[in-house]
Amino acid sequence: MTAVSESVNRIAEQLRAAHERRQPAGRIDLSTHNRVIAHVPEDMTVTVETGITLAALQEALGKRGQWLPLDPQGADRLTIRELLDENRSGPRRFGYGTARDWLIGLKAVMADGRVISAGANVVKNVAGYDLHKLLIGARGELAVIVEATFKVGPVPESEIVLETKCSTSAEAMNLVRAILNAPVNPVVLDLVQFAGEEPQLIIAFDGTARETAWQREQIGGLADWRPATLDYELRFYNLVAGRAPDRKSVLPEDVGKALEQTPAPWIARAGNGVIYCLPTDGVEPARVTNPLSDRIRRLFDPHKILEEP
Amino acid sequence: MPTPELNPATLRELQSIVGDDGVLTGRDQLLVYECDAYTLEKRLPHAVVLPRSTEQAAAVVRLCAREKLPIIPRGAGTSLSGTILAVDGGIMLTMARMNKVLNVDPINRRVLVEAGCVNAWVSQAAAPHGLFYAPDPSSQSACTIGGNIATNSGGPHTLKYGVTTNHVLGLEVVLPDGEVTWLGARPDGGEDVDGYDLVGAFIGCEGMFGVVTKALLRLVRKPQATKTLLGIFETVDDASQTVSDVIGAGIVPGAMEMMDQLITQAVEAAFKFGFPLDAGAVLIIEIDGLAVDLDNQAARVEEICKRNHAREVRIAKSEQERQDIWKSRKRAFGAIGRLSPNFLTQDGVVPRSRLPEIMRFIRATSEKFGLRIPNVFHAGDGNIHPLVLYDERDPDQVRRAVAAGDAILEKCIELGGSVSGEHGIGVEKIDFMARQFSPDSLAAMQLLRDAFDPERRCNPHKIFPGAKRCGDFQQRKQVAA
Repeated sequence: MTAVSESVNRIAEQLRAAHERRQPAGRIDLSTHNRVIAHVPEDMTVTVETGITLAALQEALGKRGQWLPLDPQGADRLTIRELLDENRSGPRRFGYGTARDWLIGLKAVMADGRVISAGANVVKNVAGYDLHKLLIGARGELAVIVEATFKVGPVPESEIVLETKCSTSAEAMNLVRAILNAPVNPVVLDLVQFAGEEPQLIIAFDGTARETAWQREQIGGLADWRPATLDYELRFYNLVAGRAPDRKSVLPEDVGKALEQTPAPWIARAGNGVIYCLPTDGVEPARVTNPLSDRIRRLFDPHKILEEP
Repeated sequence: MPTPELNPATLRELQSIVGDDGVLTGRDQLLVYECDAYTLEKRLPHAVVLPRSTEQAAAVVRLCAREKLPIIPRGAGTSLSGTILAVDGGIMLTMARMNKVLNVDPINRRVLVEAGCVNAWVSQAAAPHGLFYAPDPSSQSACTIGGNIATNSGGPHTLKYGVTTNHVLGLEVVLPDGEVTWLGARPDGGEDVDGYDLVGAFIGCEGMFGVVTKALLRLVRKPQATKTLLGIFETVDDASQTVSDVIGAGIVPGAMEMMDQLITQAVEAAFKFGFPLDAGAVLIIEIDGLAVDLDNQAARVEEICKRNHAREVRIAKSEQERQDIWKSRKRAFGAIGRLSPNFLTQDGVVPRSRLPEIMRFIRATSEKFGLRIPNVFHAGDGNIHPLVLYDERDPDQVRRAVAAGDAILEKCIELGGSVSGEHGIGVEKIDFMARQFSPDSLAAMQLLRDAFDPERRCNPHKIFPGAKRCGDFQQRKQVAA
């Protein structure tokens, strides 16, 4: 129940006016709504205005040795609002989860211009419903998230990234299983293939220098590893060229089977069972829905103020 | 208190759905179900129904929908805030007969359970595969997964591993109109599901969105090694500062739990663990992870304790010693019986860095109201559990206990925290919701509720200010877990 800033009021006013006209609000500009409101390193929490980019947030946190362990592609252009609306994540998802594991509170403007808050700036809280979970991945259809509070973590002392070539995706999956059975805790476990190339397995460990070195040793005998980076993400998203990639979500053990039917290029988060590939030209992904979600949307935005005009 | 009467035709219909032995009626049979571990308010439901399957549960819920009867989903009744109180009577759906672990899937690190499955059984079933279910509330040997989902339960190890909502992939739910639906990931499907995060929205609904019948849970690899340290401090301030310093050093322990002097003395009297009786505070710090660096991290934690004037730091030398430490912590509430006939427990949360401040405030509150207030709590999360001791035979003490509890929660809100970290709002903390959330925020929560339960018939009169309360508050001995 904290005070509402001037820029939140401006957004609320825009929505209120649209609501009165019963017309879609159109684009909501958060480009100047981009401050770090509070970062308390001892609490490992940060509150930001959601127009801030992920990269700017990470830079602010990094000054105090902390980070938000979410790493979707394009952090220098991706705002926190977009990250939350689209529930974006990156290769470290296997080790660190997704936005729902880190967002602990928010402020949002409802379709009629009312400003609400959910959660709190404490890491553990069960007062009231988890409205902030509902809004993650809701594409801004239910409310405009204007402030977000995250748990954050210490930047690991060291991280190593390794890659190895596999002749087939089946062989790669065997290696994935061997790694999952080894006494190591990878934070990245990705399979990647580009057209005309062999599949690669990318693995990363983080922690203290001693921990990463020990884990490197443990998997040494499983394959021929070379030092690597996570740059394959950028290469893949350059091919996607600004569109949203197609996503398949399967049981982790079924990733190999799913990849047999997926033309390269693709990236598979092997530990999570999520595969990204190129969208089919001219085919808009169907908006999947269900009666419960439809009811929620009608109740939160009865006059379709937040719909794309 | 009168027993609500169930229309005989409805009773027969319930019996035809679940069998005669699956319906409990009459005062004698219902008394157990009049409250949870929050015993200040009590009410009998019209009947308690024990379904054996999702189909039976759905048929009961459909019948309730037709007869406009409230539905109260219930697990083991270990909740601490009156979450399952049958304020208006109604049909209490107890999941005790749907308690199986249905399928452990070690390859995909998942487990499918029925809602009445006891929390601890999940980790037991996963143990042969080197996996465990992370949320570990102190009542884990009794509380059920369905109840954990309703209240988004935590536990000591949530500091590192997260709470219930971080470990549930999918849910089978009977909605208040009787429709059976699956939310989130399916047992044979991937973890990303298109559309809204209905699992995230459902967890923590305090039983108001429907009846959970099955849950698909995430399993976590057991840490390779664990070290449990016991720091003994002269003052609560020193122990609180240690908590901040450990976090500040970039170490994320599995758990950081504090017990103050009064609690330590009670625990010592009950369990003879060997705690010094004159120490101001005891801090349990558990770190886990790869064995290769754990000794080094333990040494760093020990050094931080020492820097904050720890009198002594003990490290558990065996699994038995470790379990003894946890036993003393998890049974601390039970040991309070040695100090006082009654206690009122609070569950506020403050930002970690405000711990010293809230602990000082609690001490001042204790003096102001002339009541002892021992503390045992999840220090690493900033989740406090002050226990206001009182004697119900003295009405003035009861009044002062309630006022002291209120003052502490008010302070938690003022410090930017929350009135509940894990026990929930239930009926107990309804009055605080309007202090923590604006009317517009509460209205938005009601919108979500209306999507699941437009008739507001599922576990009614909970969470929201203005809800109907029981007329006859009864002061009884707290038997909190």
